Amino acid sequence: MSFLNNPAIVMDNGTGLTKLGFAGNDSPSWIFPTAIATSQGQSTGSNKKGLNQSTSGGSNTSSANSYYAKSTSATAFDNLNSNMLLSNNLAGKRGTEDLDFYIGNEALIASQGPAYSLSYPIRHGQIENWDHMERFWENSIFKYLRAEPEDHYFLLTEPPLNPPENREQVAEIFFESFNCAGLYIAVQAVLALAASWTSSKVIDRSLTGTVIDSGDGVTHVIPVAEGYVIGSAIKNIPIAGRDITLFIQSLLRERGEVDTSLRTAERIKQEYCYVCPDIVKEFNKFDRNPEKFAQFVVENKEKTSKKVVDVGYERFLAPEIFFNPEIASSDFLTPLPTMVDHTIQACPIDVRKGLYNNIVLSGGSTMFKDFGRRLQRDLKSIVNNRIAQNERLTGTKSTGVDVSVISHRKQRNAVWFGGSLLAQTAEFRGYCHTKQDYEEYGPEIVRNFSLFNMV
Amino acid sequence: MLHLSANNTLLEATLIELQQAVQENSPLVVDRIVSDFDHTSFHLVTPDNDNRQFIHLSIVTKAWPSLAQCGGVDESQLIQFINGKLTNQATEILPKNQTTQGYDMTVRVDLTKLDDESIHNLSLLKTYVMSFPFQLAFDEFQRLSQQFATLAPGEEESSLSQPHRGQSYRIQYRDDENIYVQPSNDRITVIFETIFKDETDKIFGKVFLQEFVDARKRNRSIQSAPQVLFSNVAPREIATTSMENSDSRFITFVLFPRHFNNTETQFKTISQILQFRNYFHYHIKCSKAFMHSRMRFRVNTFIKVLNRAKFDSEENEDGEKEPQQRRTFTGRKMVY
Repeated sequence: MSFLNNPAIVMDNGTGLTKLGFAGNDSPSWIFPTAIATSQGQSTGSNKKGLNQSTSGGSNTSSANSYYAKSTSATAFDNLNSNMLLSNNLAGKRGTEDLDFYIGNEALIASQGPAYSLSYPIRHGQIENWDHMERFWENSIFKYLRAEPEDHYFLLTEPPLNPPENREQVAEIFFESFNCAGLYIAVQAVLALAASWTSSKVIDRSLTGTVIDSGDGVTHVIPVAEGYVIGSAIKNIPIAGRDITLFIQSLLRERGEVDTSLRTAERIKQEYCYVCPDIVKEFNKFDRNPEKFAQFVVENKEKTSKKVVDVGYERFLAPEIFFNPEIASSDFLTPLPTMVDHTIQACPIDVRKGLYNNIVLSGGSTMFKDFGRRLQRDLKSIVNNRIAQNERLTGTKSTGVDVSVISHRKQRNAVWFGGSLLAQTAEFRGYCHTKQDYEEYGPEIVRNFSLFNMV
Repeated sequence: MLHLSANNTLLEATLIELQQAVQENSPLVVDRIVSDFDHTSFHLVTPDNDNRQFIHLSIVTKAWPSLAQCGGVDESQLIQFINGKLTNQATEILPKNQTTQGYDMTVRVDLTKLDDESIHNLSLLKTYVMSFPFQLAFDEFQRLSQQFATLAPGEEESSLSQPHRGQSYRIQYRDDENIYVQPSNDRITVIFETIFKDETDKIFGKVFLQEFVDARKRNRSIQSAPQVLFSNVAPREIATTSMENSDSRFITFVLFPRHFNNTETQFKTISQILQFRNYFHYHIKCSKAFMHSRMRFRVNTFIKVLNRAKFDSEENEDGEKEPQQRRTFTGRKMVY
């Protein structure tokens, strides 16, 4: 068994993007959309087939004969016409439609044509379509990572509150289909905490803290105590990367800029936006120094025409919707710091200090400059107000609560990076469940994984 | 689709990324691992922080010790062969004492001199390394066939029954699995020895290999493909060299001169043969995935049937019990 040379594979399948890579690297080897384009002719997906069978009942089998012959349905064997049976060639009996698919960026391209339909097998962090996901994995392992799963250990991620049945399904696929050497399934929030250990601000490597995970679709606030997620206290915020982009786009449209495409708005978000300490002062600052206004040059593909888009107040206004949601939305009005405070207050009292002490950012939408600093300041004022009120009412002196928000350089792919950190350690293989364990105990073995306790 | 490229796409993408960074005057400092099939890993590292235009690309592969023995006593011939394949001004194979610790070979790459072709060449590094014994076999074949052609007619008769065999080369590409390359005067035989760890895989593998062997007989359009044989016991060619292992399966490809008569077909043949095992295992996994999707579909339909047998809500709004409506297995309502 020479698994020694082979690095473990770290896979983080998110709702929007999949991050794939090898443990020990500092960034994922592949980042592409979690999308699969399947051939539209005859899918192996269950929904379509169910439809076929219900529409053609028992009476009109003769007319549907030719149709059934092409079907991959197992029930259609008796309808095979004699011609095909004679050929005695498996490829003639049933098609190879199940192999006709693309994943990732290739899927996006393929789906522009008429022959393929695009689908996202993961919804809200959880795997919805196992057929598609299995094929997505097989393609990402063999084609993109070029790895024989029998030779590698795998670290996969799961969202908080993932039902154990889903874990079992994942284990079944990885051990039975792929025969992978070993498997570890980690909770994303815990990995994000582990990724923060690279920051110089972190002194002790504890797995207690609050994770603010903000991706493209949704923002989660997840409290983790000693490696266990406190599920009852998790809060979702419906403001994330896409909302910021849309907000920028609406500002550009209001001003009547030459280019107001979503792509331009996204580029502006990535390149120019930052979080300001005080919104009124920032407006004044902009009015006094006009050089704060930036210009974004939209590059045309042919580079023939150049469009120039002015970038103004949206530089600081866009990320501001985390802290003052009322400027962009009318139905969700709680600022992020308040949400974080609510989350921590919903946790058991003995872990709250640890949770305030170690607030970790993860995901692309937390990458704005000074995001962490602003969050820390706002949260501190909320906490200090409460302490002051408490001291006034009870008359006892509080020892104080230390609020600290940690930002670090690996924030964008924090979950993947945390996985890479953990999977490169020598102990990692001891924590995995191996193929032998799986065969001995069955899929329920993956309901429990021992936690990394790294000192 | 079920297609694996001969080159390592990740290695290619990484090199392109590095090259672009250099061109934009913001060279990156890298320390990355890239993996490939059959216990092969690449390592890209910037050796000198101040001189970022150079990177060291190291390769370690399971097959290296056996490959190094193919040519003769030491690996210098192998290195020379690879050097010939890579040859361009951007790359330089470092001498053995400068090889990165734990790797078999290190190539120093000058990112400023890279072009598209050399990037593609580097991403084929594993294929090049593995093709060394094949190249030796091609040369050997040349020699043997010429020797045979010069034989006197009488001698030819006697030697027909016993084809001239050259030296056979063994590539140990995995722990218990080998590739044997055996040149002779009119063909080159490539024998794969492979093992299935999993019981299910064994059965899948057998069905596939049988189908693989039969496909050539049925389909007239692929008559020019190499002949394939499959057996559970070691073929005679390698009976002496092979270690007996009852789990081993042997797949034999017979290459005729038309499969390696010019460099282009040679490369194509080698890269496809080298991918055989990976491709084959990939195929097995895909079939399992397909079976699983069928099983899931089946379970869903069964559950639908079972759901029809469920009772409707037992009590109506007034709290009085409704006469129970019972249904048969097919969903029809029972009438008393």
